[in-house]
Amino acid sequence: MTRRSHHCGRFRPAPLSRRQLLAQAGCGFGTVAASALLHREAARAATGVVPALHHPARATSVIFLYMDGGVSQVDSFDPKPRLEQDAGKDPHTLFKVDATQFNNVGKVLPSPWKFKPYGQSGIPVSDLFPHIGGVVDELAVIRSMTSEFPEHTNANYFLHTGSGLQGRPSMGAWTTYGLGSENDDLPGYVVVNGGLIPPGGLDNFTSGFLPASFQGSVIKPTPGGLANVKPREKSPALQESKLALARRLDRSFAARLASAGEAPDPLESAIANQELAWRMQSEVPALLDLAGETAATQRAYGMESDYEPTKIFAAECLLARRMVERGVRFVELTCPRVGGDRWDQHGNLRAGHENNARAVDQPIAALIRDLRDRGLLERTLVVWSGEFGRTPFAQGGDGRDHNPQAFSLWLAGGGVKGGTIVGATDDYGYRVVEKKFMIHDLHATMLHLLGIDHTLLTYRFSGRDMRLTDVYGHVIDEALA
Amino acid sequence: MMACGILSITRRLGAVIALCGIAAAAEPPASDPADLEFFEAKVRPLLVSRCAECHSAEAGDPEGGLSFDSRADFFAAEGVAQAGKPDQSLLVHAVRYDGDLQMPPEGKLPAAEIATLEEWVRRGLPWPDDGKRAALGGFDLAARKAEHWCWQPPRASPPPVVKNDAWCKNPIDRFVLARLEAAGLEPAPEADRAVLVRRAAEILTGLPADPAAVERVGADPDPAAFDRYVETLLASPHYGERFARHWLDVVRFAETRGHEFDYPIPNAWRYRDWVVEAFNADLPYDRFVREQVAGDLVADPRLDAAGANRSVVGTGFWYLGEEVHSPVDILQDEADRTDNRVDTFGKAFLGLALGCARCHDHKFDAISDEDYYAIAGMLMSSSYRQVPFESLEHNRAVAAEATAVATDQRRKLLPLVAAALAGREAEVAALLPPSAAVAKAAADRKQAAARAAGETVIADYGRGPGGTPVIGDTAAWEAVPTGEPLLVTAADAAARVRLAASGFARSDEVWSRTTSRGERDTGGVGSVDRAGRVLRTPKVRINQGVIWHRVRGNLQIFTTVDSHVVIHGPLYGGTVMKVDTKGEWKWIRQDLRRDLKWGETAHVVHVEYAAIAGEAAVAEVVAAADEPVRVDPLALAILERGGDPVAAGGALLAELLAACRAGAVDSPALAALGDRLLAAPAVDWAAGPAKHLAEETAGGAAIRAAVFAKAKLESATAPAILDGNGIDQFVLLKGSAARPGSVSPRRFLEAIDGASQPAWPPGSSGRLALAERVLDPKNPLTARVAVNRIWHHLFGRGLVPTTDNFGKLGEPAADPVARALLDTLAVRFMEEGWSVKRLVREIVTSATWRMSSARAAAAAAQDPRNLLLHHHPLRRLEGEAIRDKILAVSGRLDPKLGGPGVEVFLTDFQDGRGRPGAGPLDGAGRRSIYTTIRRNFLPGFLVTFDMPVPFQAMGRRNVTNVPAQSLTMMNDPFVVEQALLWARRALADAALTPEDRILGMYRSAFARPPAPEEMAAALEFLALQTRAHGGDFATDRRQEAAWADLAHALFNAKEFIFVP
Repeated sequence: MTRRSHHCGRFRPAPLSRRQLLAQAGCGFGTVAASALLHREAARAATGVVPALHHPARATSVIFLYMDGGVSQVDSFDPKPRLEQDAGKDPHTLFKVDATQFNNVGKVLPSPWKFKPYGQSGIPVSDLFPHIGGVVDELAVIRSMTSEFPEHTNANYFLHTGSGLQGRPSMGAWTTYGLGSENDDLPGYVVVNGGLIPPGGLDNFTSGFLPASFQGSVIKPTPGGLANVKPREKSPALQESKLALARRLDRSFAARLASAGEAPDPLESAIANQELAWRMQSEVPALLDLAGETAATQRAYGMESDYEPTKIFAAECLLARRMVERGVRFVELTCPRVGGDRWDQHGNLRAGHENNARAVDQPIAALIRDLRDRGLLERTLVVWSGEFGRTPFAQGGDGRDHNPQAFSLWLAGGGVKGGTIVGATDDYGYRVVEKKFMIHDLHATMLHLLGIDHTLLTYRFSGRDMRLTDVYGHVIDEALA
Repeated sequence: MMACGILSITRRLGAVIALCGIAAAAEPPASDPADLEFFEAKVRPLLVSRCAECHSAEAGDPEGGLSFDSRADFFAAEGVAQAGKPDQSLLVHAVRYDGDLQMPPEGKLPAAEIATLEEWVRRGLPWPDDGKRAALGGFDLAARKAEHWCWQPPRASPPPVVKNDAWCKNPIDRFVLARLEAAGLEPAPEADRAVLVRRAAEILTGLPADPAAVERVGADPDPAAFDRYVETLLASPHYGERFARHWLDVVRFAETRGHEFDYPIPNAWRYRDWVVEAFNADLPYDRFVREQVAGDLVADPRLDAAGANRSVVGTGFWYLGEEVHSPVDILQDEADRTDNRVDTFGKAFLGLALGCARCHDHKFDAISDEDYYAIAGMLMSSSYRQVPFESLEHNRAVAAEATAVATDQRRKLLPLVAAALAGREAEVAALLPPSAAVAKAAADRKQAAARAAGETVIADYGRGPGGTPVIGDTAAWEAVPTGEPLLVTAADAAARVRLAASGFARSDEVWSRTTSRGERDTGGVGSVDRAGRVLRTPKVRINQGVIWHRVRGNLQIFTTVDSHVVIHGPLYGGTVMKVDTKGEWKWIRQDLRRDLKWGETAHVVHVEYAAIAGEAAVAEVVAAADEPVRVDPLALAILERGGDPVAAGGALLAELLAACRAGAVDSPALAALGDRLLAAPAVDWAAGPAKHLAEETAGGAAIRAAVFAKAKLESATAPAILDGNGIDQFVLLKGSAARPGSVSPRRFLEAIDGASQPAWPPGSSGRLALAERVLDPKNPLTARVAVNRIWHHLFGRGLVPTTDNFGKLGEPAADPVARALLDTLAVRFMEEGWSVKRLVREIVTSATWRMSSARAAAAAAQDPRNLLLHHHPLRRLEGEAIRDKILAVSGRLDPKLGGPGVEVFLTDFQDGRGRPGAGPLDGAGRRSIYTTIRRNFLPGFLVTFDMPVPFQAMGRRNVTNVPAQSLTMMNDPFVVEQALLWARRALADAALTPEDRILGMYRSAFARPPAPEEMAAALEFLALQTRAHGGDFATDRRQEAAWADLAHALFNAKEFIFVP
């Protein structure tokens, strides 16, 4: 009996043979076969990998600059003069106010920062981000983003996995599941932990129901920053002789189980990945060692800043470039601690946002320039986003509460139309009034730029063909070159 | 938020249609009856079975805008077909696969069906205009049930006849061999005895075989020696640990609630131990299921030797999921929490993805959204608690005895009250409410009536029978009826005995002295030691945020809104209050308007009261804007008797005396009168009937006190469910709490129990009935799913590979023989008492399970996935078993069973909110199942080796092969440390030779001696490493570092983690 595959019209690739997988490894994608040789049972489940790009890719890697906590749109990329005019008024008298996390609704609060136009495009950027202002012509600023969750954890899961619930695969996991990595010696999805793990924890970077090989590897921007990558032996020879003995054992074990000279798949794959692990022990520290970067580069990124958080984020950005250079598929950077809170200023907006901006502004601008100068920007998608925006009215006297109804993010790099503003919010920056986009649309756009039709990247789990974009998602064409 | 069926070719089809530019299919004129009959007989079923899955509004957005739901829908789509012209119709080209658009995408239709569609177009697209939405693409539960195997009851088949009868050891083998013989394949030979011993030990207990057992059983010529060894494994408590871990994957077991701060699920390890014990005791699987679903409601709870209720602990099952503190949209949050419970329930016990029916009828299976919400209602009717399971049954008995004493006393005391009050007619008039009060009663009555429409009574414990039943988390609360004689203990009180002027619920002082052992709930709720002290009102749907509680005593009030219990701010702080009324009855106002939206939004609430100190009492709970007005019952009675106190007084006293003599004063007016008379200074408590009454009342109180003295005041607690009244849930459109549809009464799945099930009782959630329906022998799923899980664990792959999904999207059994085997085992499983151990024994001692894991070339070529089981599959151990095996060979393993978890070891890479203090690197030597499972801080070692992220049922783990696993075995400090311990263990006995030591290490790691060349290689390695560490193996044959290196190398050999 031939079983119908009930996929709601989804064309699912037939499971690939190992040979096909290996053959594709030479073609630039599908190197999942080499980086995560799965045994047959798991490989069967994991061959949802894109066998051929759905359309030409504009980018091959993603750097996701995660602004944990939620940057205020009206203080960054979405100027609202009306807030000055209505400063101090009760927002209830001006518009309908939604329930907020703290239900402590204060008065309309104008931005403490001035905006000015930058670059040829003249996109206004607030004084929080003078450096980013300098590269604004590379950015497509989307002012009409929305989330569905007014509190961090659900919103973080939503931003990362397309679902507000815990345990779904992260966008980085989906991407490496679809495309694999281009580097055999490094993980395909790397999260550089600058100090702040977002609310919701490491499950923001999980592979969820996808095989564990696609989960984010969390590294620290310091030498030896990946778990268990540092050998414990005093000398390489001590380790090599151990592994040599283990290999001898493996060969005889394989021989006992071999059939027609071929060892069982799982065993063969496990032996192969030990070799990869061994190589990673030198590759990862080499990646993390920034000493080889010129003084000028280090300075440009802010490695010499007198503000410690800037130095941390500078190292993260520099690492991101080095990873992209080496073919890592998906890099996410988390913010450093700045003493106060993440971008989550329920109070003390001015100091909090200023410190957070100070940490990331210069490194991000340097990253964009560096990628551009090295010809990497055209194949790297850079995404800058928090999990939601903030209210245009105060929480208490000098804070802003969470606002999922509108926030700004920007894209830059491969396939992005630089110097563009997409969408608009109302006079207060509270709600989207033009070209409303949701997180699924961001994900659809990211996958699109990587050459993937988001509706075709699926994984059968829990009785359904699951997608990063659930049943939603439209590519944000306005932001594309 | 649920990802659903995907509708991708929408655009593709749309584009093709646009490109083709075919004119819209003009709606044809009415067709003749023969054509319509042709449509009904041939075309409609074909459209239903082949097209409507995607081309239907029921499936979401119909693909390409084309829907076959109805004639009107079909003709509304443009360019699909031209009546009478098949060759110019996109539909026909698509099914012929002769263009870019190929439909259906899964594969070309049979030629006959293509011809049918061509004929339909040729005939002019006849389709009766019956106006109604056709069954097409609609949800036809009966049809779905009829067409999918899982809904058909399992039937036992006789074992097939095989040629090689001698090979078979039991019926399983005949099924397996029959398949192999049909395919022309031979089963692999039986594995070497030592390999079998290793395999059995590691698969059944998750620990390596004792080398002595390998030698003993390996050398035993008796063919039954292996079977006897299997018995010792089944009797080992480590068997329970192993199979419990499998089950914990299914129930998404974790000990914290995840989300932002990862708050604990207090005492969740009690559930884990319950599972371990259940497997070890071979608790019949039906009982295992019943106790998880409704262990709080079973008529015959299992008590352990100390009298602790074990059954109720199983219900922790429901509360192992993620929970959010301070959700802004609390209704949606409840819908999400409930969804996780329904979905886990469906997958765990029924192998059904019930969660798919949350937003719409299931896309593929015979599960309606009403089915989903019928079950959701049972969970929303129940509530979470920490149950003092050790004292539960004992204190229930104590409370029952105390209540019996009170009832008995009431019968005795009320006639004495009559004696004490007889002949007091003269005093009555002065004690009755004056005319002004009577007039006020009239006004109050009016006002109360006027307000009643705006009030919702949540509970009224004063109405006696027919009023609100007293439900507690134990038996600490009892109903005190109107007219109950109450002893007054205050020394200065004029009266010694009073009457309860109206009934209430009471918790005796003794219960406020109970203490719980273990973790308490966190946040606002846990600020009081509540376990065993809780009175729980019914759940009521209300739409205003002010609640009035008429209470007396020092107590905690927790109004549980939409079943949310993780009270940690910033919202919902107002749901928890502490009050002390200093012994007076008071109306306490609770304002929930700041925390929650009300008005258009209704919320389901229930209130939980827990005594903080002393006696506590609750009379009435009302949702109302203003303080409820209650009419003085005595004044009202006068009013009803004409309004003259003097005239009414005599009659009332006569009625009171009659009621007292009869032993029950149900009327609040009479009770109030009696109370006033007893309180009057005129009563002489020093002599006569009043003295007698006081003595008897005191005597009764003393008897009750003696009963209460037997109460067990301390108990451990565990997360559990608490039953209440039944609340039927709305079908939520698209799963959104903001869009309630029609009510879906609680019942079991229609596909199993039919559409017309009797209404489930309003007094209970119905979970016990649910458990019975799950376990009914006619339920086609439960036994199959259970048997298949066991098969999966023993062979690494179930007969139905998708262990949690037997629906249409699951992967079916490989062939009819596999299904027959599954069904036969399932039927016998039920018939033979649902014994898991019996099933495990039968499988493990079969010839099938004993096969070698070396494949024959021919079989490998013909059946590379080993679907027919021509050899035993080689498997990598799970992370838990790898870690446990490392501990076992190093000698560090602490075999202790059960108890609180060992805090997880955290690396620097594991950070985030709610980070706990890091546990010891070696987990205190305990088995991996005892590592605390914190949702946001999962054990790195185990996750690397595919321990599932606990968020929904995962009966089949991923098995990956990633460098992080190798890096862990190479460089993880735990592994390195254990290698050193293993070396020390190997070196401990100074008398041994290096060869002896190597032999011992190989035996513990691989259950076999080293081959001569392996022995030589090991010695050579030791010499090399000893030198590298600055020694000389010729003179120093016990260098610890070198031996640790050998141990570490053996950990890294694949044979250590792969079970042959």
